[in-house]
Amino acid sequence: MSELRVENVCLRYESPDRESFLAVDNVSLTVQDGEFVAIVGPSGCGKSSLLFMVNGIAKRTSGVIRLGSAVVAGPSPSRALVFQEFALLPWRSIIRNVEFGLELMGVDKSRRREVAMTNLALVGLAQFENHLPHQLSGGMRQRVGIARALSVQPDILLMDEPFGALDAQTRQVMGTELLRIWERSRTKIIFVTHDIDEAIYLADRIIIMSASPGRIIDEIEVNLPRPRVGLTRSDPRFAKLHDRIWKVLESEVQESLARQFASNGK
Amino acid sequence: MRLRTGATSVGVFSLLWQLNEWLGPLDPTLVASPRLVLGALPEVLGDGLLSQHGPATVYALVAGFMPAVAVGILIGAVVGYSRRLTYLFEPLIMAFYVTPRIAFIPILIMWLGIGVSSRVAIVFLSAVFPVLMNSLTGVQTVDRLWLRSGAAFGATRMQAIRLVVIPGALSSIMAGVRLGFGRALIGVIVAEMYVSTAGIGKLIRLYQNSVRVDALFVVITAVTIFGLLGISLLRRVERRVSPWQEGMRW
Ligand SMILES: Nc1ncnc2c1ncn2[C@@H]1O[C@H](COP(=O)(O)OP(=O)(O)OP(=O)(O)O)[C@@H](O)[C@H]1O
Ligand SMILES: [Mg+2]
Repeated sequence: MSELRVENVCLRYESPDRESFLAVDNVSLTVQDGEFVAIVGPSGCGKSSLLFMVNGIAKRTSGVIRLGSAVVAGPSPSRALVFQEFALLPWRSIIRNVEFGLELMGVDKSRRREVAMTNLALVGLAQFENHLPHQLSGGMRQRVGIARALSVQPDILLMDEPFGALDAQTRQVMGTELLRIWERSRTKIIFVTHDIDEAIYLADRIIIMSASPGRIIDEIEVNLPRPRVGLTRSDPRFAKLHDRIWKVLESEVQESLARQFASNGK
Repeated sequence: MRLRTGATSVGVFSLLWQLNEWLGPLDPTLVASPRLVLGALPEVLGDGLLSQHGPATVYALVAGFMPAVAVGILIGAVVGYSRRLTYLFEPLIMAFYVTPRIAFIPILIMWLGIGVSSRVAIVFLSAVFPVLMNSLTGVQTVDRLWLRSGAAFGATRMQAIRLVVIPGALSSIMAGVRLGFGRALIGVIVAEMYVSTAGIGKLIRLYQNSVRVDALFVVITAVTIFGLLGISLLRRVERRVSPWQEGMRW
């Protein structure tokens, strides 16, 4: 159908009163139809920036992004974002937040309510439909953000640390739930996480990014059979993958931190 | 609790004012007192003067204020949403904002005559700029993240303004609306005092001419009560439209 192809993409943030900043450096990647790709990388390496370019809210400085044959020229609900910071609208009730994308697409009221309720139930928050975001916990709000993105039935789901605010148990449950949704809808997913175990548990392929400016330094196939329920770190195949990813990542994380602390001192 | 505490300051103020009549340093015919003001109450109300002049003021106020709110919010939102339009129009808006609009009363009267239309116009001008200014700053300070969530799902400019920008700037906009209401009240009364055939301002001039400080205070208090009612109505509207605002701590 329509694979996503990111080709030699760079993002340079320009600012009038500071030097321009290269956040993403020549990244190329492909996501096949129905594929689940995870991205790991040190904090500040440009993972969110990359997702923003795929969605279109950030304008790439160079390179091309294609979904199928169409070149990405701006934001679209077909490349739906789940924001790291949730980005709910605080004046809208939960259900109206979930409906938001559909409303922008011009879907009529009763239909969008129906779709939104289904997806709200999928993330386990059906009984909170009339609450306001500030009345929910961080983890619950994050799940509302996921339901909002699912509701527009995107060609590709761009999830930016979507379980970052969840506790370990909820994370596990939501991960399994996400796999169920993914298997049923066969939508593509790019899933940014800092949790290597989570990446292994969920993804077909794991992309490792370098310290800023973000480049792709390694790509690892996760050739573990699905379903992976019950798979734990004690499984030797799991442990091997984990070690391999951590080896690549460790020095990048250290470099990234060292740099951030160094510039702190200045 | 709130009501009782609030009543204390009004009560103490009234008491001091009353004590002045009995013991005080100031001439009661010039500063009046609660007792004298209450005494003048039946006369002012009984003459029917207040009920005769009140509606004209309320009419000018409503007819000028409503469109000022709509126009102020809309222009503020559209201009504030676009960097280019902000750069283009902000100086002009700022200039109007700092110019006392009551200084335009003579010009408006030359244009529109001494009838109700010049008073509606001054109310509009008085209210529109505070609303516009607050709408503008409110829109400029709307959380980036909210705008991004709209943009990410493909919001058009008008959708973003309607569904994200205006609701997101609402508390600031409503502060502007309240400010605008106060300015409108000043505008209409000054216009009526300046030259007019009817209205509270006209009534104030009448009592001024007969040096009736006590009656003047009745009229002023009536205006105060009207203003307070207006403000509390606006606050209620605000609570209704933005129940999510946790900004107010009490
Ligand atoms: N609007 C912006 N203007 C300038 N620089 C920015 C902007 N947004 C992000 N950056 C910079 O770009 C780099 C990458 O940011 P980004 O948010 O993509 O990182 P990330 O990998 O998602 O980090 P994290 O894991 O902490 O979420 C950072 O160094 C950040 O300071
Ligand atoms: Mg990020």
